[in-house]
Amino acid sequence: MDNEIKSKLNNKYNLSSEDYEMISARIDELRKAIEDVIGFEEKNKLSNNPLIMKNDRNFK
Amino acid sequence: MIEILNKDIFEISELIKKNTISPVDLYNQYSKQIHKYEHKISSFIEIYEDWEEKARVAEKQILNGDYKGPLHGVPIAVKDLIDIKSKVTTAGSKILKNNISNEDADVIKALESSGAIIVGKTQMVEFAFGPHGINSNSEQTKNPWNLKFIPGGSSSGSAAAVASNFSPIAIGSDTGGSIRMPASFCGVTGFKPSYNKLSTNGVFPLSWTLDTIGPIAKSTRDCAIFIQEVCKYQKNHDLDPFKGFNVDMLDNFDAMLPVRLKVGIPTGKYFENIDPEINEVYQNSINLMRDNGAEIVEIDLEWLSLCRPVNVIITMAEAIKIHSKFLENNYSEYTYEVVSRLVAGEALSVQDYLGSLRVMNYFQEKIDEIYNEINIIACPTNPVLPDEIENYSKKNMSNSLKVIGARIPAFTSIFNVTRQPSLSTRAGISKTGLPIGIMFTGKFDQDFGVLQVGNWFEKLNKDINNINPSMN
Repeated sequence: MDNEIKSKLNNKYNLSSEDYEMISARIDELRKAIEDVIGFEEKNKLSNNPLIMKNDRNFK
Repeated sequence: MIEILNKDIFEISELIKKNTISPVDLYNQYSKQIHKYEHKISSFIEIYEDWEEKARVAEKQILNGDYKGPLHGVPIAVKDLIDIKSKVTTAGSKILKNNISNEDADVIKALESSGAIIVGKTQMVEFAFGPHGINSNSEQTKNPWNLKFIPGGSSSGSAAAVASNFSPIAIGSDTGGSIRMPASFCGVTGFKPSYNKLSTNGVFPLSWTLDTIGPIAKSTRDCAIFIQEVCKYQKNHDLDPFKGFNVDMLDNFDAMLPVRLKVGIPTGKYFENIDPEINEVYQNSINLMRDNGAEIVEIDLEWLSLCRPVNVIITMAEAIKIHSKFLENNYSEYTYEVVSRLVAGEALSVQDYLGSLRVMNYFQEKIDEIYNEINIIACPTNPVLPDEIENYSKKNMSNSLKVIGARIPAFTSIFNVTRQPSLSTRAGISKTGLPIGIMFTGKFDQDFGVLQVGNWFEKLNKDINNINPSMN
């Protein structure tokens, strides 16, 4: 976990050492997910409006 | 008295329509089953006291010739994140223990109009954020096939209640597989419709971009009845709610199947990383479909594996937005198994979130192309068998999440990102007596094609579907 996130979490929450361990593991998992997804977005030069989905439908 | 516990709604509703049995008979038999086994399973948070009274009202209406349809007088259990007017909605959390709803969710309004009887609220993973079915806030829901094992989640109580014959049908919600995963682990049928086919107004959100509600039932045809009836009565839909739906479908499942069904079998490392017992059942299912006329088409879908991290990022980003204030004020009241998932979302940036949405749309475009070659994708629902509840204690949680927990939604979560209709039904039983599910996924908005295939497969596999859980 980098210092910026660590500091943000410490300011907001009273984390126990067990919580800290679990959250660190989750953030590591998330970092890998971000690397894969954003890497894919860049490699494929995606430029669509991210707020418009092909498969969409709204309730009034 | 006709024994109805092992019958599905398709059969029960015919008996009700003919006045052979009444909603009061259903109340008597299901409530007796609950009384006998609920203390072992812990599938409900609350069972409503007015169930019997509502059954008597329905009985009178039907006797007077006011028969509303196949859900009239039928009990339905509701996952406890769906609002019911004047009732508590906790979303499985202590934080919402006094949260009394002011209004019915849209799906509840529709079900009330259909004549269904809401019997109570079912247990769930806190705020629907987890695939295992663990909730340390409450009595732990058990898998009816082996009480030492997890039921899967997050709609744990809904799946366990149907598997235990406490109710013939229940509602679940599905953001990464939360209907299909527990349906598979508990040996029942769960259907996630196309995104927003059913209104989620009045449903506590996990991720508004991915959340879908749907039925968990004893058969695919019961899921079809649920969709038919809710679509008939739900309000405020801006598109034709019957899009893709033929009203004669329930009587003509077989007739409506393609002349030769083309079943796509995903290949690639990601889809082949499955438990050997699950693989054996899956291969048997493929052979069964081939022997009964389906064409089996292998398709390389390795590229779809990226949908899993897309699902993780979008869910975590939206969940931290939803829970930000709750976390600041009630951090200590969250369960250990969910709070880490929520707080980790603080590490995400706007760029990460928007980039993931962009990739999500890319996959929705790309997956459509493969349906030029096939009618349906078939793969195992879960790549792993359920493991023991004990492995998810606070002491063991971190390890279990890495080893098993993280793998449970590997396949289901893909089809929330593509927003396709996806159904899990029982395919076989493991050597240790635990059910194994198969998942059928169709093109967006072709929900009834998926239901047709699920119904066809269940008929082919009926011997497996006649086996009941041990409740021990």
